Amino acid sequence: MGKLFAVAVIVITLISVSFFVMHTWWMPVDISTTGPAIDHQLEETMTGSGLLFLAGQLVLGLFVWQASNKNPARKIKIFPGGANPLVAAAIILVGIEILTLTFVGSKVWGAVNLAPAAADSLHIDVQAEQFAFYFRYAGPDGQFGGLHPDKIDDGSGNYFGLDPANDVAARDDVVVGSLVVPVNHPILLTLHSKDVGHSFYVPVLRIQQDFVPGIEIPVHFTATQTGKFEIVCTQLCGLGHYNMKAYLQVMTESDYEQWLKSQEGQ
Amino acid sequence: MHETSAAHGAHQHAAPTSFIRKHVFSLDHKVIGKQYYGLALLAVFIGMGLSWLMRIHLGWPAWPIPLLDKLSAVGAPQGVMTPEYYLSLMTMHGTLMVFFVLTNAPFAAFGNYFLPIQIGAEDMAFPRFNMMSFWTTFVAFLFMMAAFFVSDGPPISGWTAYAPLSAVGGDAGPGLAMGQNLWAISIAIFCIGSLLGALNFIATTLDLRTKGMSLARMPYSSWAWFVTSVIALLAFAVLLPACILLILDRTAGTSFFIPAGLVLSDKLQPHSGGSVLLWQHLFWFFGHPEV
Repeated sequence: MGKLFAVAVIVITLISVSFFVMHTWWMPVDISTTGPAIDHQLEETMTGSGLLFLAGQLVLGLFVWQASNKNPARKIKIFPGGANPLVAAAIILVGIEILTLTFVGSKVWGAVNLAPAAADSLHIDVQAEQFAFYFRYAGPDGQFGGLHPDKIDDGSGNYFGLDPANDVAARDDVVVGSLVVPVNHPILLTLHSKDVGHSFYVPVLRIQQDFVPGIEIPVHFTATQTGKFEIVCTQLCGLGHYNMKAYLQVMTESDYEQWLKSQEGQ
Repeated sequence: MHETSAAHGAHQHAAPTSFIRKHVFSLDHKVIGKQYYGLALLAVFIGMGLSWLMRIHLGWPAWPIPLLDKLSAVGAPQGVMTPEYYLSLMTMHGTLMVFFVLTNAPFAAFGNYFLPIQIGAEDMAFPRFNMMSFWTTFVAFLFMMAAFFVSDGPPISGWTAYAPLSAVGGDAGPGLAMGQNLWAISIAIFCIGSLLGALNFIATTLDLRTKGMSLARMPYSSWAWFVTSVIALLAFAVLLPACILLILDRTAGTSFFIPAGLVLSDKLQPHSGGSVLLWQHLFWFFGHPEV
C-alpha cells in the first residue's frame, strides 16, 4: 500500500509538471513592449519554484517508498545533528528563494510601472463605472475638459461629468466605449472610477491595474500588434461585474487618425 | 493533581449539575471546544451547500434548483439564481468558511479541547471568558445567517467587503443595504469573541503550564495555538475598529472609507475625504495572518 502511494505521488507530480513543460495552458500572446520582461520573470519564477516542487515531491515519494519497507532489521538513518539543522536549512533555502524572487521581481515590476511614460505619449482618460469602461480623447485642442462629478449623467451620455456649457476645453472631448490606439505609439492612460473599485485587466498587454475611487492612477504601454483584444474588470464591483468588459482596438497610425477624425465629427 | 493546580493557580470549579450549565453555558474547556467544533461543522456544511448551489448554477445556468426559490424568491425566481444572488452566495460562502470554519475549527475548537491537556492545566485560564467567547461567536453566526432572510438578501461585496462597494449602502447594489449591515455587525462581534479567545489562550499557555513543562518542551501544536493567539490578538484588534468604522460610514454618515465625488445609482454620494485604501490596509492587516 505504501509503495502504491509512493508511485501515485510520483506519477501525479510528473503529470502536473508536464502540463507546464509542454505549455498546455499558457499565457495569451503578448502585444506590448514591456510584456517580454514580465513573461521572462514569470518563466524564471515558474522554473525556480517548479524545480523545487519537483524535487520536494520526488523526495517525498522516495521516503514513502523506503518507509514502506517493513524489514525490522533495517537500520533507521538519522540526519546528522537531528532534525533541527534540516529545518534550519529548509527555512534558509526557501527564504533565499522567496527573497530573490521578490527583489528580482520587484525590479522588473518597477521598471515597467514606476518608469515615467514617454514624453510623446498619447494621453487617454479612462472612466470605470458599474458596469462599463469609457475612454476620453482630448480632441483637436489637445486639452481635456475638467471633471465635475455632479454633472455625471449616464442618461445623456455624460459619463465623465463634463461641463461643455462653461468649459471650452470640454467641448471637443471625444468619449467612446472602446480603447482605440495607434500601433507602436506610447499610450498614457489615467484611470478614474466613478463609483466603486474596478480593475483594468488586459491580458495581451500584461497589465492588471485597479481603479481606486478617489485616486487617479497612470498606466502606460505601447502596443506592437494591430487587432482587437479584450479588456475585463477583475475587481468585484457589484451585480453586473461578470459582464463588465470593453475592447482594445490597436490600429495602424493612418487608420487611427481616420477613426479619430470620424469621432470628432460626431 | 490538586497540588499541581493549586501551585499554578488554576481555576477550579465544582462539577456542574444542571443540564444547562453542563452542556449549554458550560465553563469546561472540553465542552466549549466541542461547542466550537459543532459550530464550525454547522458553518462548513452550510458553506459547502452554498458552493454546491454555485457549482450547479455554473454547470446548468438555466436549470431551476428545487426549493431555492423558497430561500429567496427575489434572488432565485423559479429556482434559477440571478447574477447578484450568485455573488450573495459567494460572499456568504467565503465569510462562513474563512471566519466561522477556518478560525473556529483548528484554533478555537481543537485548541480549547487539547491545549490544557497538552500543557497539563486543569482548564483554560479564564473559563468564564471562554464561555463568553464561544457564545459571542455564536451570536455573530446568528447575525450572519440573518442576512439570508432580510428583504434584499445577503451582501454581494465578497468576503473582503471592499469599500466603497461595502460602505455606501443600497445605492451600490442588492444586498448592500441591510444585508451588508448584518455582515459588518456579525464580523465585529466575531472579532470580540476571537479577541477574548486569544487572550485566554495566551494566559493559559504562559501561566498554567504544569511543573517541568518549559516553553521549549511544549508540544508543537500548543506552540502553534500560542503563536496563532498572539497573531489573532494583533489581527482582530485591527479588524474590529475597521468594522466599527465601516458601520459608522454606513449608518452615521461618516466618510472613513468613502472619497468625494462618487456617483452611484445616478446619485452623487454625500461623502468626502475618506480613503478606499484605508479599508484595504486595515482589512489585510487582519486578512494576511488569517489566511
